[in-house]
Amino acid sequence: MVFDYATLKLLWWFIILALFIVFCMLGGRDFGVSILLPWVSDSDDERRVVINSIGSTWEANQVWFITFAAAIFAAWPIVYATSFTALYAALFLVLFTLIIRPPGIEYRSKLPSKAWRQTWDCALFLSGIVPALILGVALGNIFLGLPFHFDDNLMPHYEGGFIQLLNPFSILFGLASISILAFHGSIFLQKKLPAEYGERLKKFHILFGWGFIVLFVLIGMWIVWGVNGYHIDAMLDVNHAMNPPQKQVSVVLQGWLSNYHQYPALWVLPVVTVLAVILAMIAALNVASTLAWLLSALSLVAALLTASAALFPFILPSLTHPQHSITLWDGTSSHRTLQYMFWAVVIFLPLIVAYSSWVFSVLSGKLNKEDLKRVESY
Amino acid sequence: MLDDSIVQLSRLQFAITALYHFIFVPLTLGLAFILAIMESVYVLTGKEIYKDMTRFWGKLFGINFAMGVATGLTMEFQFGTNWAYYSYFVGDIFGVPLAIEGLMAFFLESTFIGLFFFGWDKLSKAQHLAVTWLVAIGSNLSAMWILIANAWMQHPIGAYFNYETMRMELGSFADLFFNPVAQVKFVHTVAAGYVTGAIFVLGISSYYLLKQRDVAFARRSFAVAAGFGLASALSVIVLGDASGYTVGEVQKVKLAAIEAEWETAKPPAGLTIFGIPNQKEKRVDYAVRIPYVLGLIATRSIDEPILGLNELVAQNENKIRLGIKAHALLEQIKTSTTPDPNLIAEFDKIKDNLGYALLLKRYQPNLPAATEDEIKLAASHTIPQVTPLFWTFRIMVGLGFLMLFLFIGAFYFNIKGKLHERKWLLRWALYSIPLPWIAAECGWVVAEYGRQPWAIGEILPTYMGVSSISHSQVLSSLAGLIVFYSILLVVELYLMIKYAKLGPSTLGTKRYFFEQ
Repeated sequence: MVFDYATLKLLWWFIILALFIVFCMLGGRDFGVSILLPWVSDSDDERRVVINSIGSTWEANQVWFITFAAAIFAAWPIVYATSFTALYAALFLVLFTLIIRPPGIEYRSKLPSKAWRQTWDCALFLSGIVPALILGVALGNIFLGLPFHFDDNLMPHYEGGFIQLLNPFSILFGLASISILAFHGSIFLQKKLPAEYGERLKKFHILFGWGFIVLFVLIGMWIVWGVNGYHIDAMLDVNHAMNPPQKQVSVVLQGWLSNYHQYPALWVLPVVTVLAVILAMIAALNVASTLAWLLSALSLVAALLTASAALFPFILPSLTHPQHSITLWDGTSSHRTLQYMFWAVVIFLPLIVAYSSWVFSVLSGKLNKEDLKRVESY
Repeated sequence: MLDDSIVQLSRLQFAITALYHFIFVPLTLGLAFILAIMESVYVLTGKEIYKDMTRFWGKLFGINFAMGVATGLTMEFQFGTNWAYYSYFVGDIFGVPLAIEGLMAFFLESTFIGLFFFGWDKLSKAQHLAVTWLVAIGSNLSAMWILIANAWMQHPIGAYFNYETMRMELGSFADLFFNPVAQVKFVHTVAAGYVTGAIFVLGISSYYLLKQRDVAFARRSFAVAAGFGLASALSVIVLGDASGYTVGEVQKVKLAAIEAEWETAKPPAGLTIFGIPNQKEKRVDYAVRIPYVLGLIATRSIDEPILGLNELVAQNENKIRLGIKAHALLEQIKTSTTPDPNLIAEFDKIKDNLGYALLLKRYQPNLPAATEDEIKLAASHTIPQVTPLFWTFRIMVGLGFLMLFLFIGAFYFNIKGKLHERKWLLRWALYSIPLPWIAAECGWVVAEYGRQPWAIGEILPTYMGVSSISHSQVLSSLAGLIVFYSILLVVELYLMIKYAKLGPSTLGTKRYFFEQ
């Protein structure tokens, strides 16, 4: 074995985070476009142009989410088992909206009926806003801790309900998530669509850009002054196989800031998040669309890293049984599985990046109403 | 104690979502290659009609593909939502093929599918052809990894129980990958997909020929489908036979249940082609048997016996007793801070029977207190219900042969060149469109129902795999999925039939029937 167990555990935390970040940059863009769909286009042709702006690439983007989930299954099976049980209703809500997404894009323009198309537009809107909201709410609840524990066989038991996930703190997360993805989608549409859309999109850049900044700062203040964080007091050797209940954990106010206290350089992350959004807005309003898109992507990356750096090394904190919280040290697969999967990632991820880049470059360029005359367009 | 209705509802949900998903998968697998073949002919000959064929059948492919993606999502997530203990217990192994499927196959397929539709005038002919082949290869590789995962549930090799983490862990990646069940399952399943794609194209082309429209287009499509379908139908049957041999080797209970063999017959065993299984009396009423054939298929010999269910149940009873011992040793190991190496050595010797102890827990949660009757009861439940397996298997095989004859006829008369005079053949092809789907769904029932009572063969009983969730949660997700999927299926079928009826006129090339 080339890497020791502890190194692989750490590498897998980065790999799964990377999969999620790329998903948010690409798939999140598609959610954002779906959220904006009813508001940035009036006539049917205009709507079709918006749908076609993501029509050729959204499938590939969604695979980042599916691979993210599959990677959690393989590398963090206990996280997969616990979080999906705990978030049962929330996850099915996401699934239902994601299920209507492929037929929404593919079937909408296949029949001329107005009612038919309006129904699918509504479905597409939901398939953007609901997952964006729930992913944010889920992240918020991770900060608060989910009420779960393990029995002797390490079977996870969830003690809460769906409604308690919708607490004010987590709803702020959900709104922040909607804002930044809508912002990201809005910036993308400006880059992809003709200038007449750009005028209409300006107000969405401002609304969602500033909306996100306000929510981001509010959440940050709430975490600093009002949310308990978790701290590992004692644990077995990180190079050893271990189960979540085998460690000692304490719950402390400002616990989520301990990494920031220890490594003050991390404060760069939230600062970059806010700056990138502001600069993206400025670039977009000055029609530097590509630069705006890059900055908007940067703000997403920085925002997710801000949250991850706070939670590290926790993956799923338990509200009711803090010592059962899952961390990247005790929630992983065996050494052998992490090793094999690591090499699978090393081989395939560069390939995916290479051919995706080629496909994206072939499909790049502005869209307009002329493109709707092609038989394959949606 | 686990609530049994949650187990039943979760099983029902899994079965329904899997069967729905598999309405769309086989057509994707088969049609992708048919598109690649059609486009290859286009690139090689430069004949525009083959491009039209690729684009038109590609349109129908797209309608189907969207639903395949939509229904596949649920499959990926419901192991965690509804089968949490399963996910924890075997995620170390089972998650591996699923994650590699994403990285190696699903990305490939999904990235290039967009370019397939939108790249016609952005790519050179050769580039576009390469894209089409990559979609076909991606979707088939995807099937391969999923079937490796499924094969491991049927025949879990290359894994061991780790008492420190209380779960199964990966022992050998090569064993997981080269699982003999995975190999036959993969080729059998994708070949069944090719048959589905071929019947789909054959049937719809026959419809155009019967209506005498777009004849040149339909005849060429018919020819591609007949050739591809004949080769595929032959492989499904030959490889289905290979599966029979593998099942005979490693899943003896499933084989005996499919054949409703209660007693171990004197070798070589006969193949029951018809009969009414009677589980209560443990026999087959009105059985019609062909001597020797089953023995030949399942053991490739005339002197090896095929164990009957009664004998297998007796063997399993013994495994339950060993399982109780293994479980007691495990309890001792778990409670001691530094376990005695002798204890571990002793445990290692019999730990393969641990799953049988878990099976007994359903009838007696406190294993040391298990009575003889409870052990016998648990043993009698180590085999699945025979009747559904017996019938679904026979429907699948019967339809397989029916489709083979259709392809032989289609291939023969296509070469003779008098298709338009063979209205009966064209009608037969048209009405055969539903058959591959019925056969494929039956095939999955045989594979998965035949695995019961195990989620992971002889390791984890199905009832133990479920999440600790409430009745109302499963009921609402189940109801939601049924309603959603059913509405979407109706919509999909409506669009599919509408576009199939319109035919290549939907391409807007001004060359086809409704545009003239």
